Order: sequence, then C-alpha cells, then structure tokens
Amino acid sequence: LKASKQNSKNKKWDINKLLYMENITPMDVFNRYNGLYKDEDIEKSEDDEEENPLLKFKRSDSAMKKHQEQSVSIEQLSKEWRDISSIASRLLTLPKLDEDSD
Amino acid sequence: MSEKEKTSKKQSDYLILETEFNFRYRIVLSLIYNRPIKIVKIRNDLNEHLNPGIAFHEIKFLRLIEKITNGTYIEISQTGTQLIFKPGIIIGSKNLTFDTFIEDKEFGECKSIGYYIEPLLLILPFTKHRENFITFKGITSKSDTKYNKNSSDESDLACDTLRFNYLPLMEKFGIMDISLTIFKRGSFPLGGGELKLHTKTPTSFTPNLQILDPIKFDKIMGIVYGNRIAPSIIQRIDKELKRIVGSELKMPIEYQIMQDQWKGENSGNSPGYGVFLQIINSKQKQWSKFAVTSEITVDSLNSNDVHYKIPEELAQIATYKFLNEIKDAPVVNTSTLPFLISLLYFNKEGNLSRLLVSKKQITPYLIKFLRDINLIFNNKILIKDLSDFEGLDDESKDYLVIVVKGSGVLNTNRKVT
Repeated sequence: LKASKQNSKNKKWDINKLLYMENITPMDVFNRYNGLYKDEDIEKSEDDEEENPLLKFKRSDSAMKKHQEQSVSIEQLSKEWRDISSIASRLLTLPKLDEDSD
Repeated sequence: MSEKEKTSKKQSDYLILETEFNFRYRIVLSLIYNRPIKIVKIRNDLNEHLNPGIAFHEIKFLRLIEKITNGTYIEISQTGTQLIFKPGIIIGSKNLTFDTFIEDKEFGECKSIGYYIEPLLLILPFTKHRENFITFKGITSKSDTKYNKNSSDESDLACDTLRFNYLPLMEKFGIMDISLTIFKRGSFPLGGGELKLHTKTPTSFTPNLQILDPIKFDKIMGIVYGNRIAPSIIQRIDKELKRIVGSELKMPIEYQIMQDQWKGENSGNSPGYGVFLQIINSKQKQWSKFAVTSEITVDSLNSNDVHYKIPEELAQIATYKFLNEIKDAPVVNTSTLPFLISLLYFNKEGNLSRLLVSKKQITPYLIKFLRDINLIFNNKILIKDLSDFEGLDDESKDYLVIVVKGSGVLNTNRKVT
C-alpha cells in the first residue's frame, strides 16, 4: 500500500490529459500538475463523483479566484529576484562562460 | 413541431458556458467565430458575491461591442445571472467616442480603458471598415494592489502596457498601421483620461510563430509617469530605479528610463503616478517585437497603501516585480499569453505555431482560457514537453511548448473585390 501511495505521489501527470478533463476544475489541474495535491483529496473527489455525478457541476471556481487574489509581499518579491543567475542567462550581452575560463 | 421541441432546439443553438470567468474573451471569440453563446451562473453564488449577476463594467463592454457591430442580439435575464449573446456583423467605427467611466460606483467597479481595448484589438482586424478610429475616455491606468503576475480576466491594463507590449505583437503578425495615442492621462477614481485608437484592417493576416528557445534581451526601457503630482515624486522614483538597475543589479545591460509628467488640462481629474518597465531585444529583428513588461500604478485612493509610503519603495517593488517576471517568462508575460494564443489561433487552417512558456506560466486562468477555446472552436490546443522536440539541452526542463493549430478564421465582413 505504501509503495502504491509513493508511486501515485511521484506520478507525472500528462498536462494534455488533465487540461481537458471534464471532472476537474482549472485549479485542480494546476494543483495536480504542480504536485500540490494530497492522495486523500483525489480519492475523496473520485468517490464523490461516483456517488453523485452532479457534484462536479456544483464545484465553483472560487478556489481559482482565491488563488488569483493571493497577494505577494515585498519581502517575498525581493527574495525571489536575488537569484540573479536565472535572469543573467536571459541577457544577450553577458560574456560567455568559456571566454572567462580561458 | 410542439412548443417544447421548439424551445429545446432553440436552446441547443447556443453554446452554454458557465460563470463569469473569461467574460471578454468569450464574447470576442463568439463574435469572431460567429457562434451564439449563453453564459449562465454569472456571479450566482450569494456567499461569494455581494452584487450577484453581470457587473456594470461587463455591460459597458457589451455596449461597446454593440456599437462596433451590426445585428448583435444581447439578452440579459432579470436576475442578471444569465446572458444570451448572438453575434452580428463586425462593422467597426470611423468616428466613435466611448466613455468607459462609471459614475455610480454602487453598480460596479470602474475599470481602466485597457480592460476594453485588450479584447477589442482582437476584433478590429476583422472589421468591415478599412480603417477604425475610436476615442476612449476614462481611467488610463489604475493601481493593482494585489501585485499578482497571474493576471485574471478582470485585470486593468494600463495604457503603456498596451502601447509597448500588445501593439508590437500585432505588428509582428502583419497588423500594421495600428496606434494608440494618449491625449490625456486620468487616474482612478475620477478618471478624465483620453486615448485614441487607430487601426487598419490588414489585407493578409497570417500569424505564425516558432519559438523554442527563451528570448535573450539586451535593453531595459522604462517610463515613470505622473499626473497632477509634484515633479519631485517622479524624479525620486527615476533616481531609485536607475540606482537599482544600474548599480545594485550589476548586470551588463543598457537601460533607458524616461520621465513623463502631465500637467493642467491634460492631466485628468485625479492625481496618480506609476512605473512601466520593459525588457526588449533591440539587436535581433525576429525577436524585436517581443517584450517582457511590468507596470505599477499608484492612484490617489491607494496612495496610503502600506507598500507605497515613499516613492523609492514604489521603484523597488516595480523592479522586483519586473525581474521576477523576466525570470518566469521566456517569451511574453503571463498576462499576455491568452492574447498571443488568440492571435496564433487565427492562423491559416492547419498551420502550426509553437510557443515556449515556462511551467510557472501554466496558471488556472490560462487553463480556463484554453478550455474555452476548445468549447467555442471545438479545437484543442496542446501543451508539450520540450523533450518531444529534437536538439534541446537539459536547461530547458522548466519550459513547455504550447502548440497552436490555426483555425483559418477569415474576415467575412469585408467585401472581396
């Protein structure tokens, strides 16, 4: 059982399959693809859909809206950009590493 | 035929879509594809929405659509939670003045002009008139205190983002002679701004794109703008921006920041200021139209916001937001993706376009948008791993490719000679 759970956690979702699946909301697609879900949630949701197929229509997009409205603090923003190397690789004028080593 | 059968047939003519999400794009796609839609459950959850039903800015948008089309039928239910939209012929306009300002705030939020122009840019290449002149009045830029790069369909686009991000993209795909001129800048809440949009219907419109590598940039450009404020605020923001980009960032990159101060009659009815930043490739022609942009506006109502106590803080947060956007956006901003994908979708039937995106750019909003395209056009846009394409290195594991197959939409509104 443990192994099967581990496998399901490591399972790489095919984004194309998830994208147009009728049963799940865009937020669920986002979470599953980014590995932000729990096994219990999936089992629960699958059970719910089996019990009452109308439930899938009742799922509102409130979760998606909440995600969009999440605010980001200055501290968080300032920490993220400190990783200069990721931005530096996008610059055309940066000297090549090979030249430096020579 | 019995009455019941008649009504059921009538209902089946409409494509039924749920909730108010992606409202503007649904209307635009329905209009271009000429497919009647019925949007149900518009803000029908009373627990979430204080004002259920269609919002006033959405009604304004529908009025604008009505003005540039002929024969469009719009029916809103009594509760406002249902909308029937039957598209007509896209005529365009040679001399239209449209006031976007909403005086009575009880009916809804007053949106910036960009909210109306963004979807309109997709419609204007399909108009009957050869040239279109539309003047917009209202708020030119509005503050977004959420600082969320995953822009939603409710976002307030500022006029500079439209001018320097959206219009060059359209030029890239052959829609030349398009311009957006600022005559007056007006901030939230009283507005008073004025923009003039001029477009020409292209003779051939075949967007095609193959980008499988992240675009390299070489120049940062910025505008610090303000209306009805002291010039020292603009100068302080400008100084701090130059300090961060020039000294703290320590990167060999050219940068150019301009000051744009508006005074007197042309400065609208409310004070406001902001920063627009973009990074471009000025050396290679094939990439010159793409830019990663970021914009922050402060208006008089939000000037007491914790984050904007001093102009220097505004400059800092604008730069941080901008740098984060560059990091996550290999080609264009996350918020510009639906617009770009729509353009690619108007390609010749069967033509494939490939657009590189980062995994962080696959947001719930984009997923919703792709689903809507599938519903309205009955055509799936696929997302593929970069490993499916040959000759790509390991560094590309953070990226995906959106494969868009052209739908072959034609401008049927113009007479063929």
